[in-house]
Amino acid sequence: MRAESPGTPAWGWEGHLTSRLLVVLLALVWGVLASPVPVSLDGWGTAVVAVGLFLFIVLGHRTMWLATPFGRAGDQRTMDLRGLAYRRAFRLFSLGVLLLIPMLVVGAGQGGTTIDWGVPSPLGARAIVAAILMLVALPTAVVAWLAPPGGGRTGSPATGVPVGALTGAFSILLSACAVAWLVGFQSLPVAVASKVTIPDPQDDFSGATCGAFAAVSQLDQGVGPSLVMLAQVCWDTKAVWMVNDPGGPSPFRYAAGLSNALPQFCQRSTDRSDFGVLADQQCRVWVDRAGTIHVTMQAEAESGLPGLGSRRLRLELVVTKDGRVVTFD
Amino acid sequence: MTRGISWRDLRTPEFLVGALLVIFISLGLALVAALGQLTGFFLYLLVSAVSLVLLRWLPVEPGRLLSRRSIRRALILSMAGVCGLLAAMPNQLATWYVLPLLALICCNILLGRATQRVSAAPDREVDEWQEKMRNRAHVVAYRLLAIVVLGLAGAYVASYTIREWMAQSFGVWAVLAELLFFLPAMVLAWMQPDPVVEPAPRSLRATWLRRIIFTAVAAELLLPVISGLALLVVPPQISTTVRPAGNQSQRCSYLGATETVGLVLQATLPISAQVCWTGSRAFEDWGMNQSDCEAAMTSGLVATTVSCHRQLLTDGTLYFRYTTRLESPAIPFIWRDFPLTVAVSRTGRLVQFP
Repeated sequence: MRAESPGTPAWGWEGHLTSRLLVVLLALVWGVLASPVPVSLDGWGTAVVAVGLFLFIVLGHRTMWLATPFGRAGDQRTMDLRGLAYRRAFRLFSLGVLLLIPMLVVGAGQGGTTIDWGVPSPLGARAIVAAILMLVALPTAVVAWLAPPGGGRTGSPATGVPVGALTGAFSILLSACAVAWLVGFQSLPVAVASKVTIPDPQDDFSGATCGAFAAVSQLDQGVGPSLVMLAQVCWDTKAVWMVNDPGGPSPFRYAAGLSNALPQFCQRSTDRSDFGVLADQQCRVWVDRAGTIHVTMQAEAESGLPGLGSRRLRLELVVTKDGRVVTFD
Repeated sequence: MTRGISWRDLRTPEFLVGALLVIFISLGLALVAALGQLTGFFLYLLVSAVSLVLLRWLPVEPGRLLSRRSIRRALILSMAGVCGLLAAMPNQLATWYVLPLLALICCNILLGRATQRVSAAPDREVDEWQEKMRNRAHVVAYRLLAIVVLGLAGAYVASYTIREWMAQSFGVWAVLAELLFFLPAMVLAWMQPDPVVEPAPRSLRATWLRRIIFTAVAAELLLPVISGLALLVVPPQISTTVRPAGNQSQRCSYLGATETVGLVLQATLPISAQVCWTGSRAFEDWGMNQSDCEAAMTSGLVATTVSCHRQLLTDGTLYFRYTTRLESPAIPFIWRDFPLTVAVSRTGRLVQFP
């Protein structure tokens, strides 16, 4: 359906092509969120979502919020346009979900840790946010694509709530979402999941028992940044040490050329941090007088909103020389 | 009024969704064929897909019964019930998924007849009133879908328990797919009023083509049931290989066997092992462990290992036996156990195989 009137300009605030350009930008935002590349947005996800929501508000204002439950269709033509927009939006959403499936499959095969934490996460936070953004904005985007600004109204103005008030209300609602994200980031309990495998099937050295210790500390139920610890610890009742620790006994050390490298467990977090970022990551390993090893890892999690919201994440592993796990959380 | 297909038709979301589905299914079948696993089961799937496309192509009329609003609403409520059942079914009952899925397929066929597939029909095939009705249905369906998706996303983020349930449940995703493809038609069927004029009853025997397609679909729906029953009566096909193995210091035999079970829906149960003997006892060289007690391949049947054990008898005979339970997902209350046995005496004589 083409609802352009002869006097409609192509560009500028009143231009139909401007609307279409904004829709293309919104599609790009969705593409960035849904795409498996890059593996992690390194905290830029919050900014990308903010851009997407801003585009949605601009498009909503331009279409007089016709494709929302609050917009009023002035005449039969705009009612038809709204119906057509929802019909197209429904099919496009199905198409989007179908496209998300291969993207999730590709994304699952790229980077990231494959450890089963006991915390199931078949969907990443990015995929969920992409689906929600698509669901919320699609009808409005279709109206903006099909009709010139004003939702194709040619006669009487919209009845009901004024467009400006609706734009303000939506802006406040979306700001409230940002506040809710911050509140959740600051106040929700940190979720820690861990997995211990003894003996570690990766290490088959004689004379010692080794264990694989994996833990993840998640903010905002895994939507926020995650601190990941992957440590391999061995013991033989006389001593306890970390595999790949330069101070540990051979053959548990790094090769000579790698002796100055950070222990493997202290590498940059392998989990995705799309919304929020980890900074100032610190790792420490020491053995006390009783021969017990202490492994700590901590980092500052930032919300991704500039200057707002940060929390300290910490993971600790304590193992005695006879293999008893004293602390792991 | 009819006209030919234009480029505009090919750019519609409906066409793109259909094209994506065809591409995914073709890639899947190509992969299966490339792996050399194109069995009767996959041919069955292919023929079923073709029948469904032909069924979709047939013109539909609701008939006297399905044109009644009360019947249509009862159909939608039934579909909602089946969807609820699917979503609630735990993964431990995975073999039972087929029953609600088959019920849902039948309901979808009836739904298509009840709504004359107006919700997904090309613009040129609907009149003004139908266009208005389906637009209204899509508005309502979109809002319902938004409630479901937002609710699921919220629950997914909020609770690890729900996350675990969604990660393990096939049913939730099947219900979501049902909603994505059929919710507008369901809303349309719910909303449409009773017809002013009672439609004339029409027999399925109206055309030969219609009769053939409906027979094919009925046969395809029945085939998994027949195949499940065939498990009870059709004898397995067995092929064996026995050849000397080992070196000068050891006397050994390689024992290989495959037992192919079932019709169309099939399973292959293998044994591949090497047994040696010393004169005082026989012993396993390889291939008689817990990891060897698995079905090699199943096409549409569910295989469960119910027992697996290896034993050295007092007379030095090595005895290995594993039993696989096979069942058709279409009738999960009927199954049959298939044992495979190897018994080799201390002198290397095959006492039992397989």
